[in-house]
Amino acid sequence: MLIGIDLGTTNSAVAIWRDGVAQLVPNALGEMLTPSAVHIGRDGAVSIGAAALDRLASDPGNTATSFKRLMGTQRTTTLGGRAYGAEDLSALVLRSLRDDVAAFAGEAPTEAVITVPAYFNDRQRKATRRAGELAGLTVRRLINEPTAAALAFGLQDKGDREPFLVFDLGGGTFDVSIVEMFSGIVEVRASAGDNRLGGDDFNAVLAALAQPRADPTGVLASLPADRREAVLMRAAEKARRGLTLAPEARFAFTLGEQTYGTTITETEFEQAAEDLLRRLRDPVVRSLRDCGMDPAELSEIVLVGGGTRMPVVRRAITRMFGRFPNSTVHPDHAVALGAAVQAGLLARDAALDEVRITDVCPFTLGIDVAERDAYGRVQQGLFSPIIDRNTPVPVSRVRRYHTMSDNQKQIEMGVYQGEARLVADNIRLGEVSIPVPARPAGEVSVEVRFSYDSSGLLEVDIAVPDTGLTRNLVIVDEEDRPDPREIARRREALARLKFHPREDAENVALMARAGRMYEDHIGPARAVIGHWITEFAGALETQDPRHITDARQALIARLEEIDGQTIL
Amino acid sequence: MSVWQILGLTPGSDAGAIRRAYADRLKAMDVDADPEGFAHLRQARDAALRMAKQAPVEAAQPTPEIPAPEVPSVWPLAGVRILCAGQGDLRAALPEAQGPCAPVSPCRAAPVGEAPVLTLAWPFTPPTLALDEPVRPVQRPETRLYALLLGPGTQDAEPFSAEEEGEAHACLQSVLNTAANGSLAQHDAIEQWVADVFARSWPRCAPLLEEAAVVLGWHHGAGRLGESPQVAFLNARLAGYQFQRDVLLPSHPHHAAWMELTRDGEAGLLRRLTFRPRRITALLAHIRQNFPELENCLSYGRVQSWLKPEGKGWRFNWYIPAAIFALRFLASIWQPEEAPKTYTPEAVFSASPQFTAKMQQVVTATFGPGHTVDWLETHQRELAQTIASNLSIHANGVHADRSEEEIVANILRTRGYFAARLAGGAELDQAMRQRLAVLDALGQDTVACDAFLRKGDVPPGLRLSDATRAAAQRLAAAQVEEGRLIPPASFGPTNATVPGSIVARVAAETDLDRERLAAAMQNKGTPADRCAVARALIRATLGWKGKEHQAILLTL
Repeated sequence: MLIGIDLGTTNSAVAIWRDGVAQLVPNALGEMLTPSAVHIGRDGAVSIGAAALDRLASDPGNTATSFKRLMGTQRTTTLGGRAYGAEDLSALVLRSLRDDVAAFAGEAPTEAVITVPAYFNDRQRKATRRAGELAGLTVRRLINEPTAAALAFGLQDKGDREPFLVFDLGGGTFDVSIVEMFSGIVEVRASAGDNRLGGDDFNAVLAALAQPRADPTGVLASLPADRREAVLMRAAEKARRGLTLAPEARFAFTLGEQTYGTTITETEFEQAAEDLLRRLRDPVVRSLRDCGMDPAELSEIVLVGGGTRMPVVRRAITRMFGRFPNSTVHPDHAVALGAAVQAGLLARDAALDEVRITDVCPFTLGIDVAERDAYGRVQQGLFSPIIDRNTPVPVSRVRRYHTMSDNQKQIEMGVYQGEARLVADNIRLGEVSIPVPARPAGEVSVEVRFSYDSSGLLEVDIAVPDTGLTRNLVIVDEEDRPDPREIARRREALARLKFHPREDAENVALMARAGRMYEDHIGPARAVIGHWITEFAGALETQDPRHITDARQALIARLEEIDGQTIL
Repeated sequence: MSVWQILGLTPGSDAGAIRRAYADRLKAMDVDADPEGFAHLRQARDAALRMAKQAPVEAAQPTPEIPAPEVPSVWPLAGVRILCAGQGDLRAALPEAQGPCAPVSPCRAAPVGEAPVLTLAWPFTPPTLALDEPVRPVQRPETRLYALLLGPGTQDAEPFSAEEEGEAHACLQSVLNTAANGSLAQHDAIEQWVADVFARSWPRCAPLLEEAAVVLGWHHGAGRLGESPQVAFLNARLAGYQFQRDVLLPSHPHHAAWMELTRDGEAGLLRRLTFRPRRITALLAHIRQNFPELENCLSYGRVQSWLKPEGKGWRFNWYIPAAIFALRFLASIWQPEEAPKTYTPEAVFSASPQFTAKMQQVVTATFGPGHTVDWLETHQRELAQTIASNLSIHANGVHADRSEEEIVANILRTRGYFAARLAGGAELDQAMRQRLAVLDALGQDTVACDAFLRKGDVPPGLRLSDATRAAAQRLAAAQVEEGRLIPPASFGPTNATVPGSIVARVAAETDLDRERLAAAMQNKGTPADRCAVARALIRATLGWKGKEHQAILLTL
């Protein structure tokens, strides 16, 4: 069975295509969104999702969030005394989503379509595939998040649509795509984005703004760095969500027996976030320029992703385009639903028989060359593009190059992906070399053909017309796949962790939530919460299901009285 | 094929019909198997849509007269008169003046020309003035900025005075605010205007550059492919400006060298011994590569004293080089001039006897006895050069597992096959017979067979019968005489209908059931099946005399 997964920086979701429609799958707590957070205790007990997020307050050293930002890098996080890479943590989240589908649909899925930001480079995409494999899912296709959102938006009423722009501001990444739909063809005209711009950056800005005011004496400096980060980010997240609903919000955190806080107004936040709002402009301008469109020609601006709920972002968008954006599609669900549509297409469901998707390649692909400048000096390491960004995929382009020195024996070229003029700032995908006959410089030419197909496979063909010799290099997305033993070893390491059985998920989450609220409050309120926690723990030990259910309902009611919202 | 033919429409169809035709064709094709076809279809659709957009506009009614926003071709350098309450016709454009109107200090009376034109110059919108401000600006900020940077009197590129700098900062701030709060098109236009003005007025605009770069995001796009030349220029100058500022901090790695080189006077011997010259050379290399204009800030004498540390005593040493040159000149008159060393290509005209002998041997082996290198050159020069190039590579040690004859034979086989395809008729039959001989010689080796069918690669050490080789030699010689052995060009997929009796013969020879046979014929089965079917089909068709003979052979 094919499922569609939205693996986001802050929240993840999974959906399946059933009975001709895409449906979201609820998790063990009954929610559609599972926070991308993992907590691993010293004893190896793993919590994933809302429970882990709540443990961020009590045990931040062993909790990891926003690890999507580390995908494609080799950085590890230490949880419960051991080091885990971003792929392992994503695999744990994917695994819990897979179990949710198994409980919902009755059979465990084996194949998945996972979404990645359109601007994810080659390494990050490979890392996402590996995470899927570690979770026991074959990744059939990686689909871009804005394309998925466009699918979910556009197939609502199955009509034709003039080009519209999808504005996807998630927890960690920002993507822009311009999509057009007609007669069941979904055509992506251009894609652009910023991998380092998301809700987390707005949190950082808010924390930087509020920290000197809330904590003038510098109590936070006495904490270890990760604990301080966790405290500030939680407070900033709450304050930012508060600013979505009201023009003022409280930025507050509790340390020991003391609460520190300050009030932030919306205008202050907007001023502090000015640089981030400015950065929202660049990908939009780039994508419009690449497909040669005027902003007035767009029919809609579709908002996707939790970050677009912020009033400052909405105002910036309205100013940019001179009109109000379209928020008819649910910003958190659209991407997962779109991934389910793509899963249905791959499974060749009859209802989707008339739908086709054509995408574009978001990065420029080329080789490194050397040039002679006007003074006769040789400049090396320049990037010569062969496939420009935002050309429709599949695409095949040829360019001719010449030798640089006399009697050159062979030509070696590296294949690069990126936008910078010097190859040192781009990403190297591979290299290929070909022998050439001995001639004076510039007389031997070589033809380089790049062929990029819709599944992300880049094939490089070099031919030397003088000799008729050709060389071929295929750069697959999983080219440097570690050998199967390595994958099996990592999977075993993950399987050795202790997972709570599914029935206990609600209780675990509730305990974590109560623990967080204990940390958040002080004085008599804290004592009372502590008392309730002890009661509930006693009820759990009796192991009587009805008793446990009653105790759970009672505790939930009491907690909601004090503090109405979860972190979600 | 024209655009309309690819889409299958009558020329002049409207956009909706074009899109539907594109959609139908896209759904009917397999995009991954035929990327060239997809690219053609997409380009055809874009071209058709462009044509459809232009044509109806001319045919439709003339658009109503909307006055476009006036972009003055000459920037209003003439300036405006200083306004006070009750003066001029510009009162209508500004809100009610309250009390005596104080101009911006200091009072800059720009030269009064003809009546000022206060048009709504796109993309600059009129600033909204707060009524409680004590000071009212008398010039539009962008006009004032332009005058400060590029106006009359700035040709000598002097830096700003303090008050000018303050004014320029204020004007720039207001311009950037308009950009930040405006729509995308406005922001774009303002960014281009600022880049253009700054690029033209450098170095006078140096103090303003950093602020503008930060706000407009130029440092994000530094070194990118889509950078405009003005922004690239300004980014480079900004980098130099920042380096000049940063290097004055003691913690900068080049700080010591910079302080040393900006001192006056020359570096004495003691100095040069105690101060590591590596730092000096590192700094100079860094500056010369990245910010050449900064070298003017260093004191020239001191730099020279570091680079050329000879003292006064060396001044008389020009005698020695002069003497050496004189001796060489005399020697060259005495000895005969050596021929200038020209490049000798190891090509067909090479003097090396082994190479010529090798070449001759290869030509004889390939075309039969009696054919020489000169014969080949007369008829097909380019083929001779290709053979020579391949031989020279082989001499360098590439493809050492094959002999030269094999390499050349492979090249000729591919070219002969393509030439025969173009010729058709009896020649096509001969070429196909040779192909069949190769396939038979490959026998059961499916990998090699598949490679041969797809790319024409033959494994080393393949033995063909003498009769086949003689026939191949004759065919190749005939093709060369007519000059038809050109480099192979690719051809698209072809198909043909195969009559039932041929199918029966193929089935009898290969022993496959109907399904696998059909799949292999459509290029979809396993490689082993495809090989066997290809062989049997060639054999069967060569004996067939019907009208599909040529069509079937062309698909193999």
